Amino acid sequence: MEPILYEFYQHMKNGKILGLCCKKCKTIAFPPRGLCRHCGNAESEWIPLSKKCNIVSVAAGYSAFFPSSPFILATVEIPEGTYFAVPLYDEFFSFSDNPDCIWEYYDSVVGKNGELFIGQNPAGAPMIAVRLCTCQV
Amino acid sequence: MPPKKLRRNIDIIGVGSSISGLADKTDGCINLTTRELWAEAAAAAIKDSGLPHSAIEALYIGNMQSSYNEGQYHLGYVLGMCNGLEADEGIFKSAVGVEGACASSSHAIRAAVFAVASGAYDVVIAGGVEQGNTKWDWTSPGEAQSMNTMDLLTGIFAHLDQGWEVPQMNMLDHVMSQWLLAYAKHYHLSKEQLLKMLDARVITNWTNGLGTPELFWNPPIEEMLKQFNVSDIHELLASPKINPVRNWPIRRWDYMRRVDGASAVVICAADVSKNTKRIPIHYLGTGNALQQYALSRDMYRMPFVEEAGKQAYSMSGLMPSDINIVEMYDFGPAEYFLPLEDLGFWGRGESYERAISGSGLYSGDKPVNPSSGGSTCGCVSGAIGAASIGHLVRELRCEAGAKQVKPQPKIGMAYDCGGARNCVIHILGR
Repeated sequence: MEPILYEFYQHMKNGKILGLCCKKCKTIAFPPRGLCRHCGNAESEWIPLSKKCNIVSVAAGYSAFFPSSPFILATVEIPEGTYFAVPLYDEFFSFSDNPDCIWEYYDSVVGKNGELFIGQNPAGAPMIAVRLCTCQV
Repeated sequence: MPPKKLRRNIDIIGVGSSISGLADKTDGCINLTTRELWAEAAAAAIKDSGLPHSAIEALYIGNMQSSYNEGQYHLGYVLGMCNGLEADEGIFKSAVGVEGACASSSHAIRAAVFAVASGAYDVVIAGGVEQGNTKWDWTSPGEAQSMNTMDLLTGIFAHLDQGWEVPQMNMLDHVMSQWLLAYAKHYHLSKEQLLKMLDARVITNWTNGLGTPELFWNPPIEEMLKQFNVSDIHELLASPKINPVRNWPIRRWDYMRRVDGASAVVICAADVSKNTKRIPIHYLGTGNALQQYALSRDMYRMPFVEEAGKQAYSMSGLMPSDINIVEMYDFGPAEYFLPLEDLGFWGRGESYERAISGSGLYSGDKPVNPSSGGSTCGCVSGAIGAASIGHLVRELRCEAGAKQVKPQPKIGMAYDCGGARNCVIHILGR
């Protein structure tokens, strides 16, 4: 079996967001896994994932683990039918003095479409993030 | 498929806990390691069972982060020698460590139950221990060194998927906040109602903890008001200075305080307990399910909790309406309200009304955490499930003292969860 986690991040460094598609049942694993989550098959192939997504939920604030700046974390759904959470970049959102600003913001972005892109986390490792867009998912 | 059943009837015959506190700050806890904490809890549970040490045939010990804080994995080996479980001169009985983040002790208890149910053993001891607030290693054995915040967090966040969640900044506090926001939006709560619901949980847990001297943190609310010079509990909880927002709507005191300690239970086959003088509490059912990063389209509910509950109800032959009392590992408010509804103890969308009406009080109509939960007991991560079972057993035996739920409950449920995405349910009855 190939080093899946390593390959996944190497692809990200090359600007690609890839999942693993089971050769038997076509279930897509994202993040990629060694065996198909549905049928357990070990044979799969890398496939590019849609960069379009739908925003399912958001929250905002500091994380004690990444204390330097607050950030928004969005749960997104991609057309391939899986969910994951990624930081949401929105230049129009302000972490103002009102920590409850997320209450109104939630309504303004949940259900909207987003576009995934590859950024960097605070340690410099590749990280998937999302920005709002008007694209069709 | 027919429901899964335990092959033998299983009882819990003894429960016990160690002191809890901070190994670098709390009187009586200073420099205690997993060894002493576990030995204290094990001795208490074995004494409570009325069985001799020699009756114990195996140990299943849960722990989350001893390899980080004490440089010690292979905890079964180390703690197997701390129980009085010698089989022959210097030879010890079976002992194994089990890890499942904050649900470690629940997984250990499940493994122990399955071992007895299989007929491999008749009497075992299981539980959990955690010393997660200080560090020591072989260079200064047993000398508890205080840790800075980043040290503490690195230890805790090692339960997350290091290949995805941490590098992708999928922080648990944000996910917990998403749950609460999604819940409030789904059930059309206002912002003010959401905060009132959170306040009500804190007040319920604090009230349930009052007057129980062994709890780690149990100041009377009046004393808290005096200390912070405020006149009203809601004012205290709403104060950004006293109770700052972490991830709105979650504030500092909505979370648990992490403490060190241990809890143990003695588990036996029913044909052993019938020959003892102790009141046996029957282990009726269990379930376990997990979910990828605890994310779904419907963030107002936790499908993996529903699945674990379904397994436990099926094994026990019981229904949600049969449950009289619940002990929750409510690390934060989302892990209180959502699972209570997912497990059917509270109805869908009832949390706001039930929280503000005091349903969850030990004197309420649907008691939750009469022990106070982690709010005042503290979060002893690797031991919290065993501690919850200890509280349930005392309630079911009618030995809970001032916090005894009346009428005496017949069926209790314990909810435990590793990393808020790996849920374990236990159902006990008398």
